[in-house]
Amino acid sequence: MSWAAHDLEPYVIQKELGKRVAFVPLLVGSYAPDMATKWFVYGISLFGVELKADNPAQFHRGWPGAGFTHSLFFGVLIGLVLYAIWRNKVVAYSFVIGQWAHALTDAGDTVGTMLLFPFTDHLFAAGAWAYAGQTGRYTDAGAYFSGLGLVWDGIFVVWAILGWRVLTRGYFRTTVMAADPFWRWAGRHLSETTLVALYRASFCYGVARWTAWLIWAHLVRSFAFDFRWGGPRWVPRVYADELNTAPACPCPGCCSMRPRLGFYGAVAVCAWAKGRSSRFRRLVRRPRPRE
Amino acid sequence: MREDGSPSGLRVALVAGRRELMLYVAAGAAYVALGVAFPELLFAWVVSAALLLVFVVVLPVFVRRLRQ
Repeated sequence: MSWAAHDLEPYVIQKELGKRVAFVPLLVGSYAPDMATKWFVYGISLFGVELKADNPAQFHRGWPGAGFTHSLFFGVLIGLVLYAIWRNKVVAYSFVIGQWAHALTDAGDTVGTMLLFPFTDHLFAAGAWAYAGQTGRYTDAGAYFSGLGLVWDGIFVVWAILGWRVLTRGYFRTTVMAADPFWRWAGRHLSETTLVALYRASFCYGVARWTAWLIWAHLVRSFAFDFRWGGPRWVPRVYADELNTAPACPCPGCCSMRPRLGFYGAVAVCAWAKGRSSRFRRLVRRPRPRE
Repeated sequence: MREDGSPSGLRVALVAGRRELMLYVAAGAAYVALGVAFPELLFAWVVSAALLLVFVVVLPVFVRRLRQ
């Protein structure tokens, strides 16, 4: 899992896409996969009752579990629901872009994400830093900010700071407000200073908590740095091949069918996208009839 | 000023928004200090946003009223 990266990705994307994205759905999309799952991964206490997943990694990223929230298909599905409600294409695909950014970023740890679910429940994992959600929130934070996760989030901190233009008031007024209906609605009730502060809130949250976790993990708690691939090695890690094994049907038919379905599904999506883009190009190039 | 509404350079932006930037830096420093002391707060986006609004919106209004 990633920490500050999910707060900062929307600003990096906003810088690249400008008026072509709406910021609020982009941000909500970036947070969406963890919104309904993280509390159950770490566990909470309600009226003396401890609520926690038996197998946090399986619940968070696997199937059966809530791992489908980290798939590309989930983003598209929610994007379609948003489109059905608001009839606004920019809102819908901004959510999809934010959610995809989250799913792809989380594929960097040792568990990874089921990117192509439901075609396959294979977990795509780069394995750069340890997944340690099962150890509880504080050990997980200490581990994440002691390994390559710290570097990964640091890249997003620097990237977002380099894109400082998107944080200026003029950019907010001219580009962000123009593209996102939420800010135009909120602008009827709140001052511009409040709107700008709310727009910048996730940036401040990301940078401040990256700094705070770094101080807490290494000055207050003395967790050991370990920048090896898949580290830190001192924390109990979960790997992708430990999940999704129980419900898998071992018969040869199912074993060979799922990856094949995934492959043909991906080819079909690519062919469809290519067909659409060439149709679009033909439409653009078609000469207009002279009057 | 550029087409997207942002200032032409970083120096121009920093000079123009110096007072505002100081408020944001103060809010960030306060959140870092509170977060290191009470790490539970680092999980709460709402707390950070509320703190930011207090520093950037409420505090300047309060100070302005005191001065009048």
